[in-house]
Amino acid sequence: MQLARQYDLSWVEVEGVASFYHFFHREPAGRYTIYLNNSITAEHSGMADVKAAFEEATGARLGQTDPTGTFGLYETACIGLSDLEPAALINFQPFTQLTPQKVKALVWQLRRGVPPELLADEIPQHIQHSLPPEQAVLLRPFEPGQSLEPLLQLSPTEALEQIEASGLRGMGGAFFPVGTKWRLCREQPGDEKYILCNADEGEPGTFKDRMLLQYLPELVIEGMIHAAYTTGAQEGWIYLRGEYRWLLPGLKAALAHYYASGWLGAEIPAQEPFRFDIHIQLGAGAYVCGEETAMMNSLEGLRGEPRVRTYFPVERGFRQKPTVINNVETFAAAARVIELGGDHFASLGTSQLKGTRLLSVAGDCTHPGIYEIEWGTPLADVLDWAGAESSMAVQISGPSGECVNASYSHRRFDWDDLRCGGAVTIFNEERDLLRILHNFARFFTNESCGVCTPCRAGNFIFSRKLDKLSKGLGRADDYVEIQNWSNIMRQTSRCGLGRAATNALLSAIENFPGYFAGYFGKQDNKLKHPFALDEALQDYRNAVGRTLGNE
Amino acid sequence: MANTIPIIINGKTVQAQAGQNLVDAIRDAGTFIPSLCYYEHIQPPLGTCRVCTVLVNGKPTAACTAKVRPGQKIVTHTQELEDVRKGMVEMLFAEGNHFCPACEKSGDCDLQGLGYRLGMEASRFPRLFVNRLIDYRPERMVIDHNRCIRCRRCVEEVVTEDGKAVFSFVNRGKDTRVDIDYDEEPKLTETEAMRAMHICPVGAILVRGKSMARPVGERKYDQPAQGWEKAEGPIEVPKPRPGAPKKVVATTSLAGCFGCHMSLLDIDEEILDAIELVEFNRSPLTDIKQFDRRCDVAIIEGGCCNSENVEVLRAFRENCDILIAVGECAIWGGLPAMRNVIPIEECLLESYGRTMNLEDGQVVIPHHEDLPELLDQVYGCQEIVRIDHFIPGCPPDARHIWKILKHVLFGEAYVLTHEEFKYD
Amino acid sequence: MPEQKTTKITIDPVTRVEGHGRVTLHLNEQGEVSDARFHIVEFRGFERFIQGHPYWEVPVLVQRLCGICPVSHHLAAAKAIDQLHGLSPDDLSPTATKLRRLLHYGQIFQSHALHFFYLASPDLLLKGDTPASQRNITGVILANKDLAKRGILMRKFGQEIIKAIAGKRIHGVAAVPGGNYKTFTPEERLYFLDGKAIPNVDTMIAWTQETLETIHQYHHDHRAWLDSFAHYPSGHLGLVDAAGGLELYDGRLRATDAQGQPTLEDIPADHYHHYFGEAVEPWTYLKFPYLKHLGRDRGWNRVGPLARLNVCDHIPTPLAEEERQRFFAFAGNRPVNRTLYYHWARLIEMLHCAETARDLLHDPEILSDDLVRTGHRQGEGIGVVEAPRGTLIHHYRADEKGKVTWCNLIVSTTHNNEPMNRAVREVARRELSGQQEITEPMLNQVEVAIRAYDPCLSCATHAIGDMPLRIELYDHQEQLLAERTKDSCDHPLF
Repeated sequence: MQLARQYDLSWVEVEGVASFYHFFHREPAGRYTIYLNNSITAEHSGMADVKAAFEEATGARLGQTDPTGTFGLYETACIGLSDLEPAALINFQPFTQLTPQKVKALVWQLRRGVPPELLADEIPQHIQHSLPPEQAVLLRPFEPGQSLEPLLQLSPTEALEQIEASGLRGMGGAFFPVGTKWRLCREQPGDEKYILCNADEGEPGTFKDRMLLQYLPELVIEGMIHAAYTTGAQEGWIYLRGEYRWLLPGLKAALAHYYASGWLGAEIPAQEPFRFDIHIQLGAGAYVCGEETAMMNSLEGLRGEPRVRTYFPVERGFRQKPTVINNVETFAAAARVIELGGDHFASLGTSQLKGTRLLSVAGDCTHPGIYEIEWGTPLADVLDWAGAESSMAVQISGPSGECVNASYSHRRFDWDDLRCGGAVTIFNEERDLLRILHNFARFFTNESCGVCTPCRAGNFIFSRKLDKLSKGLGRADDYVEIQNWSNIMRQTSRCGLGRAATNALLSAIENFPGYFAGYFGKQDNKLKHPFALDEALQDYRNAVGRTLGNE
Repeated sequence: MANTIPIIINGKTVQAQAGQNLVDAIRDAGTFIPSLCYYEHIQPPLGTCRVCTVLVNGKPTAACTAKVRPGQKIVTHTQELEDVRKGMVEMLFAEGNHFCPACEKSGDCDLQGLGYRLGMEASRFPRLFVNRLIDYRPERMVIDHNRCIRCRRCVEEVVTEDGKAVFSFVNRGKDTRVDIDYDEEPKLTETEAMRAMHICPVGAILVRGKSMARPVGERKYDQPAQGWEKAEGPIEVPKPRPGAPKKVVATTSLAGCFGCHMSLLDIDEEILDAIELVEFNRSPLTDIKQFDRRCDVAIIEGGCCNSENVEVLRAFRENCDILIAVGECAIWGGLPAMRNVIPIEECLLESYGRTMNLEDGQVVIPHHEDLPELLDQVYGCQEIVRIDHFIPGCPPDARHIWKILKHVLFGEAYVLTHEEFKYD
Repeated sequence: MPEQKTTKITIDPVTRVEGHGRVTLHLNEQGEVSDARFHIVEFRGFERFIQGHPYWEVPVLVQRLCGICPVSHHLAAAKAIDQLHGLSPDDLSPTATKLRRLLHYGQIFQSHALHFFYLASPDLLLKGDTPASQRNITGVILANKDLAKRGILMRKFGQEIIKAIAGKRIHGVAAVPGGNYKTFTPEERLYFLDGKAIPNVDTMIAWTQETLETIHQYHHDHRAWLDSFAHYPSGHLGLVDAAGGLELYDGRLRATDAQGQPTLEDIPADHYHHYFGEAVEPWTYLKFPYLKHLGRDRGWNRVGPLARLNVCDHIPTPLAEEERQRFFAFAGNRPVNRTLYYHWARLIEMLHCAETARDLLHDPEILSDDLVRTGHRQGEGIGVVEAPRGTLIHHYRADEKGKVTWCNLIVSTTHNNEPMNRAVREVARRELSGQQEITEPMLNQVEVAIRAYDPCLSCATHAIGDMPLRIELYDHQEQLLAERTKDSCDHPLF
């Protein structure tokens, strides 16, 4: 109520914003708030046992605090630690590779008053594969300021030309040419422009930006500085997902260093000196805020709902001003482009996708972690390096991407094949495909912003459909229905979330026909639909049993 | 003449106002485009329902979110687009708990009207049956979240005199809901509250004492509408052809109230002619329990609420060539499906455990070898067996039922009038 | 003690309450009917899911309890909702009251016509040796097309009255809190009076009188059987007006015992809960109401046309009153406890409804637009009407915000639950006990008894062809010895 009065809003508007974000609780969430993630890699790594251990040790049930209010235990989506599952956040500190024993010890420590920061696990850089010096772009030695030096010799236009020549495309999944975007922003009239760094890495299975922000934040900062130089923007934000709050001290320190060195603030040294400030804004637990217009709304203090795309962000973005939004890795790569030269970058990769990219590989493999690859690399090589054995499926770009059959050895990371946004999640033969897809469907159902019908209702409807399939209640019609329903969602959704939500399912059906034949083709009599009669009668039987005194 | 530019709609060049909203431009050009959340002066347009999806320069777009721009090529009607738009309406019906038969807005409801206009007989999506709140706390209004389609009109349009919002979306994803500010709402005048009720396209906002729609026959969607034929005369039964065997029809009422069977009999005197063409086999009208021959057509009234309904429905599917689900109950559960959001145990205890003046105070839930067991939900028939035709209504108009019957049995062509296609 | 061998005979389906009903008969070793039960197999949970809805939605919602008499539920609920507005039936405008009465009497007319002509007439009007395959409306049409057509047109008349007042024949909307929804126009009135599009109300009266002649003759010709069939003592319950006359829309509750002694003396209908209790049995979803002060075994009552005639002192319209007097003169005593006299009583009510409809149609007040009254919100409302099948009680509580918090419905057929069970037992004992073989006609007699009560959704009950039957013979160790299924042939079973 106070907030409402302070900002002259009605209380329900404040509630509207607060209730949108997963991490804003309107009831006490415990002195120690524990978030267990429900990604499929966590599930496969034994999160169920970890959860049971937490429940026993804390006395709290999932979704609640314990009676004393000391511990709050909640579920959340992937927290960006897929290479170290089962992982959790306690007061936004990371805890990795949990086991029931570890949990027990942990909770005991917390009860004794040891602060979570002291108990939290160190997160390694986890580089599993890097490229030789001629080819490496991101994972190569770096000193702060290294990429800013060339600016002393480059005008903003010249710097922009380097970016354009490189052919660099956005690394967040949309692959829009970075040079084009920055030029468009430059050409907009007006002085007020913004540079936004999308650090809301929310796609489950993606953690490359985590690594960059933790171990190479300077690269990212410098990339943003280049963006400001070439576009004329003077202010920028890093929108950091709430799950990465533990990275904040490091980031702030890095920023402080840049201010101290004169590379941020007024009069940044360059051929044409300029001013640029960077702030950090924390997210609060909403995957959809990774969508650029949703992110801008969130940054403006609104619900993180994607906007109707009447204008591109470069035309009217943050505060309705020209805005450049790019992914963390994109800024890092841009810095390298200025450092190494646009032509050098363009000489790497393939004719359609230039340069290299980072992959975050996790799942059923011996070497989960960060991989830098040149575009054009075969999937089989990555699986090999990762130590994946008996692989069945690989999910490329997370739940919104493609479910690839691991035996398709000809697949490559390239523009017209695996146009991967970063996440590579490996599943071996013991995993159940439908369970994986069901996990994805539930993810989208929870993360939909809820504004448009097809995504809000469609994802829920799909969840139920997968529920049914998992119980063996599939019928021959299902194949056609899934195609039809997916098409509807794709054509009518307001933003990419709804459009991409059924990608995994559709690609899985196409890539694993034998598996799905078992679920769709089981029906002998096409007129009589499968129906779980006994299950449907169970509630009634239980009710009767209770009144008769025998449960 | 204001600024008009040429654009192409469905292959034809038309002159349209530059910058005009595309929904209006399409309508001004005389082409039909459905819309639901679109409300002219709200800027930027809401773009929430997606019912107005068309192709703009090849890209699927909600027409209300686009403006007339030079060189635009718009396609409004392909089979796919029509299916996609109908899919939106069907999704909305599946998402909420839309019980047209018991709703004050029935007959004036835009969602319902769209269902009629697009010819939605049954939603292709299984209904979700999520328990949703009916909020009685506001002073003037009652908000029924079962019906809200989250179009957002009220959020953007309804403000108090000092500019404060009264409604807002809260939560996210499938839990998204429109909440009302209990401190701001009482500040609305009655006129303002009525306006909120009227701009709501469905029956989610009700002003106490003012919410009953106009009488049946005088409501907005009872009137002859564009695209519908006018009402016709009495039902006519075809003349029997000499030597032609009678068609065999079976009927049953599962978890129905029998209104659909009564509507079937509302053919009145025509039944004297009908029985020369049609004989009834297993049916409440004949009491034949076992099928003693294959039937051409089965009329199914009512959904499945217990184990016996499922058995009977399956038997009908096995013995009849064509199944017609008649009435809302058979299609998706109908009014009895109001119990779907409540655990069956609660329903049973309410009737048998807390009944007045119970003997001995002992709770007895009926359970016996001669009684069928109850299902956890009321299911529409298409969840149990393949259904060939759907006739919506509560009950459907007699003419609608007989038109479909004649079509299925004798191949007669039919056209439905607006009076005959109803959900209530 | 030597174990008894029992035979269980199931008649499935029989009559319905919003669905199916079945009868099980248990015969002991001597072939005597040791038990007979009428199971109602439907449950829908209205009493729970109505809670939480706004009370003004209730009349539109509850009529979906039944597709034959939705108007009864609509009006009973409407009266209860009026009371939630602090309005008693007397507080409504004369126009609203008269329109509601016209609607109500019109719907009873159609419902009784449906039952008599579509369902009961085959049993009564066709010869006793008519084969089962013709014992149905088709058979009646073949035997007497004019009579059948009349019946259809009489049902149509009632349905058209409903449509004029409620907007639809089935599940329309007539009542709003405090009154009615739409006016009745002069054109609509003319439609029912001029005899052009449909036979007019005077024709309805004439036809009903002629049908009464037929039934009177029928009773004369089959006296012995009709007097002894399903003849057992019972209480009787119905509404009466202030002068003790037959009243179907709004009156006081009166009940008598089998001898005619009052057991409920003209109490206000909204005090019903002080007097009635309900019992539950595990073998049926339908409850058993009874008068508390008489207990479960003696407190049950027949409801419906026979009971209503038994409890009232006179009928307020002259032609029907004449018929009533003739009825009791013929029967010899009052009250009549003979089940099959229900059909005759039903026709007398039809006549009364037609006369009442005529009087109302000629009343200029029904054309006025003074339709709604306002009152002050109360917490509780009770509405009681006489539905075609008997006394119907709707009882609701709603909080000050308008939410229904509690609901109790005693649907007419519920009162007849015990009477129908008795009827089944009586007839089974009479027809089946000690018989060497059980034939289809014997089992049909059980149905004839049930049918007389016109249980709700009676559309469900008539047979073209034989009564479907499955008989299972069990020995004392509950081993299945023999099973016979009979479909549509006339052969005896054993």
